[in-house]
Amino acid sequence: MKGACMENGTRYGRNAGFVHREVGGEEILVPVRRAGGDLSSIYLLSPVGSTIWRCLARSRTSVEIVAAIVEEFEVDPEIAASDLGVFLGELEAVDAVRREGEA
Amino acid sequence: MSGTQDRIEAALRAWCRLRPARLEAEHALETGEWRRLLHVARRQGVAGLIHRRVAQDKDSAGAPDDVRQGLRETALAQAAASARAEADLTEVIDAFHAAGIEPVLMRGLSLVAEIYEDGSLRAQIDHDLLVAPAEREAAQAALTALGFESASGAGGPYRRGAAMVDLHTDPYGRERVASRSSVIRASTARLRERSVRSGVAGRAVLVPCAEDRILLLAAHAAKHSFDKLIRLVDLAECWNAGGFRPEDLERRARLEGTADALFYALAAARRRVGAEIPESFIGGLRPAPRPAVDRAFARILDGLPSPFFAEWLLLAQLRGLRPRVRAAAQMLWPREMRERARSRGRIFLATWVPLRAITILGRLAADGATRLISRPAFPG
Repeated sequence: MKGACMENGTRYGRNAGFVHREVGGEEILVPVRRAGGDLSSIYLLSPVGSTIWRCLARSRTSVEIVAAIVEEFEVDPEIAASDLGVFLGELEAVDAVRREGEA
Repeated sequence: MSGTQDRIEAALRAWCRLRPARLEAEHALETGEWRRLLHVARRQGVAGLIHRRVAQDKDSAGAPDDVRQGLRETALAQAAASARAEADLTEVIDAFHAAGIEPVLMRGLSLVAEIYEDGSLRAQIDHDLLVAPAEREAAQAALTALGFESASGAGGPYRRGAAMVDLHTDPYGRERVASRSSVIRASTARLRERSVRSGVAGRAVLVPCAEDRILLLAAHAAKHSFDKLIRLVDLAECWNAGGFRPEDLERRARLEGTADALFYALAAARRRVGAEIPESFIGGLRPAPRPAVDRAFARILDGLPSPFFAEWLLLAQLRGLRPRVRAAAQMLWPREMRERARSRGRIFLATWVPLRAITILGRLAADGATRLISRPAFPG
């Protein structure tokens, strides 16, 4: 998985072909363009996933995102970084996020 | 009505609105009735609204997990479909604007943007875009350039994957049809002049003014013989949203020949989904008695299917035998089908004509069967 080799200085940003919606307390990502992933899919976001997606409203490094997770969920930075790596890998795999260069 | 049917009707009536009501204890649903409710709500296009009520855990203590899950899945799918529809509409509107075309967006996403404010609450099917007849070719070219294709050569809906655009040059149908235009005298140009700008899918799009929106929804619901509850919910919520004077609405309906459709639609919305429309206003629109139409409408008020209501209404509104015969012929053999038959020849005739006959006979049989066994059922 691409996220397994997440690098601290790499900047990540959202793919504009995905939109975020809230339905009855659940948050989802929806690919809306043909270049934005599988159009028949819906991706459910966990609370941490929602925080990460909100962070990615503008281009961010993984260090910045980890800081946001630690602040919101009061977790160990190492655990947050590990979870982030897995999640970014999943988002990259479905083309929901893109690497946008180095910080 | 059976107890089960009563309770399901009561649940739908209470919950399928933006401001749902509390369900009376006597109407509390049993497990099997919850499953029936899920099925009916999906067919009637109101599952998103019911989901919101059930997700809030109000009146829904007995809802089985599979019903909750079914409602949730429908709401999520509707939210996703709505998000995709917004993206498609943005592309289409941008392409039209680039070609100098200013379409009016009727129904669909304009209702989500202005009334529901949440794509999970209302299912989306297509985008109904009204353009001036002179803009039609340019609009078709813009859609084709975006990758949309028209399945039928007679200006049918344009499709691209799941996206569908219905291009109108007449607000009450894709294009002006002789039988309908002798009843409905609405002017495309005047509707466009009265249209207002609204923020839809991130664009400032023209949408019908409040009076026109209600008249269009009423005529559309009647044209579909009130087959889905969501059409009545749309009407009820647009009425609540206001922005119009009832006397202006009535005057325009009478002027444009949509007063009958408005009467039936508002009366059905009041009865079926509890629309807060004064009975005195509806009564003022009541047309003269027409046995066939009134019988068909009584079934609609009782939540029974009445698949030929629209046809009865149109035939009743026409004056003289010849227009009625011509309209009946158009119903059985629509222009779109005649053109397809012309281009595809005998094979089309050999398959389509028997299929059409079977469909009509099937609808008549279903209609008759529900009358005979008096079993309330929902159209859909």
